[in-house]
Amino acid sequence: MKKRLLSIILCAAMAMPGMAVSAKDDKEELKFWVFHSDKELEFFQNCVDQYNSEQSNVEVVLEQIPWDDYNGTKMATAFASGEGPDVFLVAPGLFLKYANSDVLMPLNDYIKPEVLEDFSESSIEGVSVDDEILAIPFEMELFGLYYDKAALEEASVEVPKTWDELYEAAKALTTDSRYGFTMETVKGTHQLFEWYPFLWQTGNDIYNEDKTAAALNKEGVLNNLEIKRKMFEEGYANIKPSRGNTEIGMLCEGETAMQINGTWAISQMQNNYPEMAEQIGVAPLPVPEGGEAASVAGGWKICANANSKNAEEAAKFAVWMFGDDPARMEQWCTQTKFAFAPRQSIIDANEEVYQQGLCAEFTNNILGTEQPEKRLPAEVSTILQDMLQSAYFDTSVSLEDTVTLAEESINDFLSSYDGAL
Amino acid sequence: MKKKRMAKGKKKEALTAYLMLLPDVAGLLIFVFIPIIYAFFISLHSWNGLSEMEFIGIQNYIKMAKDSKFINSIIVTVKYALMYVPSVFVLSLLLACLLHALHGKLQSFFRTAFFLPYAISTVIAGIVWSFIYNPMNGFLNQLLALAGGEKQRFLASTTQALPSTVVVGVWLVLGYNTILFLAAIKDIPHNYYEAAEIDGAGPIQKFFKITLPLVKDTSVFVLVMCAIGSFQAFDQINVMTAGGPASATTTSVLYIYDQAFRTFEMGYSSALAFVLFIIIMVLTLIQMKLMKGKED
Repeated sequence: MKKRLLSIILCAAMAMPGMAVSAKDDKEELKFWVFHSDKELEFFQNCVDQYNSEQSNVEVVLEQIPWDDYNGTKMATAFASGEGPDVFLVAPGLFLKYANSDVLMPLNDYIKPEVLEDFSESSIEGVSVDDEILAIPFEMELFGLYYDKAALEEASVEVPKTWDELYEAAKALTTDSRYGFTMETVKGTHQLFEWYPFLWQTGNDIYNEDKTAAALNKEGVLNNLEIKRKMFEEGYANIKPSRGNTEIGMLCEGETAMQINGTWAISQMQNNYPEMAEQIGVAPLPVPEGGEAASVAGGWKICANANSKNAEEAAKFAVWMFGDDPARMEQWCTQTKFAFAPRQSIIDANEEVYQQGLCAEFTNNILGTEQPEKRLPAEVSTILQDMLQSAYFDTSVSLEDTVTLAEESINDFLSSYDGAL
Repeated sequence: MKKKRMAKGKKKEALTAYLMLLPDVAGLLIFVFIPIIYAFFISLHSWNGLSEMEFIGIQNYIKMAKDSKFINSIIVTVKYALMYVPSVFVLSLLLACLLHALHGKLQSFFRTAFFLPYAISTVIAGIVWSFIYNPMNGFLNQLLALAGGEKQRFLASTTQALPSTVVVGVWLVLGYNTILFLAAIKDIPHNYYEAAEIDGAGPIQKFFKITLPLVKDTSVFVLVMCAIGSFQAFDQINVMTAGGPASATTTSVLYIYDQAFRTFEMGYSSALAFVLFIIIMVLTLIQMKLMKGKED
């Protein structure tokens, strides 16, 4: 009898988890892919848990995909095989690829008009095609010139304000064991992202005004490429950074004395190099003689997969995350990491945060000079990435020839392209 | 009656053989032949992996013929192969001869030591060698400085990057190929060498007249596999240089990867992959034919 009772209890105990799962299984599952880790992943998990507890239509499942796979094979093959996530994040560099393929679910019907008004105009423009809002921006990352105060003081170098001063400073700061200046050297969208401010400082842009042809072959553009080529050639710029240039560790660990980096580097420093807080400074990017200050506002956007069988629920979740209650975006931009929020109410309500330490430098001296990161067709992006590689490293080809080749390739592409630009 | 029974037995034997082969053949069919055919099918379409495929015939192949970047990647690959294949062949054969001359524990020690890099993941090897090649503080430049030499840029130089990646590629497979040659050398009857010695042959003569001809099958295998390997080099190059600086190390496979996963031209990249497959197949056939011709 005892044995029988025990078996019944054991069977019941074993069935319990199954029952719990089957209760969960009644709901449709939404796959939400992110690439973040640590504190940022925890933020997304908390949001997902909250959403799952607040409604009973769907169960959102957060999946963390390594960074390289997120932008490469995993995401591409998942979509190609019809197994793409229901909700995912997209960077401006890849936005058009998804938009032109009708993969992004229009979100206009899910965002309240008063919320939409709170977003900056340019941030919504960057995610819209033919008046359809296809993603929600939830952060604005700006670029600045980070520098090691002690190294500059030791070499009696002022923080460079112009390109010429940047070259001279890099030269003076280069030693046997440290580069004067570090920027992205690896071909890719990040290298291009870093280059936009320097392009805009010259008063130029990638296309002409009506976007019918490339407009790169200008004196200012050539000057910028020349000064960078010179710094790499003469060894004042870090020719082989030990890691990607999104990492502030290279500056904090003494590999370089100056580094172009984004607002995300502030939280990186707080988490990994708290002892360097006083030693690192940040300034606006140097400009050409007589040029205008410029920075670029990048940052990820959340979007819903239009081909998902639960596209509507996916859209609702994406909007719930960052297009409704400002609390989540506020927490993301001011506590989880440091970034400017594309919603004015958050900027206004968090003056204290935006006026702290290095954040204040960005708020007071860089914010306002930015333009949204370009959303380019992948073909144009690749042409420009090749142009930068050749300009920086291939001294056997003149800069004029390099830029002319890029212009011709872009014009050739535009002549048969009919997607959004 | 006896014949019938034998025929029945043979049939049964053949059936067993086919059944034994089935898993392998099925694996090849599912994971090799069908993907090749499917890649060819995709290559006839314009497809970015997201939208519907659009049939465009041989447009991707016409585009390829005019694509200077693809032609450049083929040139880079051929340069890589020309440095990689002879280096692996000569060095592994040389090491095998040296190891053969050693005996007992000493031979075991060096055999293991040379084989060790083969057990390392190519990605890890790429990361480690990136540190070794670092232009500012890398181990190699420290050595050069000690010897009074000038610092080199290695992976950051458009001229040195490709040879630097070849060194890593060779380092990775040297041990494996050495073991193959060592096994072949050990199979050569010792009395051949004794007879040659009686006839007054020196070590060089013994190597060219006995060792080299008698390890011919292994040589063919090593050369073919190295040639294929050089045309498929990807992991360590992607980790160390990502094809840079300025496309100096963009091999064909790297270019195909770029087209597929950075430019999202799945149709075009499939066409490139299919052409690379044909190139590798033709090269292998030529190589095998040449070696066979010499043997005959």
